[in-house]
Amino acid sequence: MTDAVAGSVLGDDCKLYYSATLGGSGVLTEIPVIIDDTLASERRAVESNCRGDAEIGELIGKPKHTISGTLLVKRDTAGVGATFSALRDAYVNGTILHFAMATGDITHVGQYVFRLEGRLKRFEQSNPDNDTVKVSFEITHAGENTYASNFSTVTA
Amino acid sequence: MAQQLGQIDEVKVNTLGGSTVTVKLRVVGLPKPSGPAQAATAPAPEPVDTVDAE
Repeated sequence: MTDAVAGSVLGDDCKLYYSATLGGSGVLTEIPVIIDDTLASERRAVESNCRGDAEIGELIGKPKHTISGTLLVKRDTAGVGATFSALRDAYVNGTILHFAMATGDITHVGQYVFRLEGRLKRFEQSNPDNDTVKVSFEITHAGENTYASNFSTVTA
Repeated sequence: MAQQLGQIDEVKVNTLGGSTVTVKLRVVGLPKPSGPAQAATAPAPEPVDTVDAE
């Protein structure tokens, strides 16, 4: 399989990058065509229902970050393809990767980038037509990893 | 690795075009750990009671 051409499917080219080097110091590689990439961030909460309270409150805890999206590759005679192989192997082996999700091209000043080091928790492959392989995936922060997920902006 | 608000990370990016560029990322959002800060070193061991030989 070769990488799908940006803009050829659904007209949407989200930006997700990965690196096998952890600690935020690796060389990021762009994943060619990702659609519907999503950052889900929600803080854990418990309800406060104490004597003397007039209403239920919520105690807000730490956030849990999850990146999900869909990788598109093109079916052809070129074999599996480097991007597909790298992500599939990371899923199979439980390898922690560094991910950077950007609102646009990460080389453009002003873009907003979320970085997380985690594992592919879900790797769901479908072959919906004669031309495309779709991999729906989900990435969560690795519990034993100490790199703090963070939001950044690209500066000059 | 401890990230700090405002810190600037220089990261290299392999673009789809095949070139490698360096971009600067300034950390602007970082959830704070809850609870008291953890000690950098392990706490001192508890003193051991000794019994005088009689």
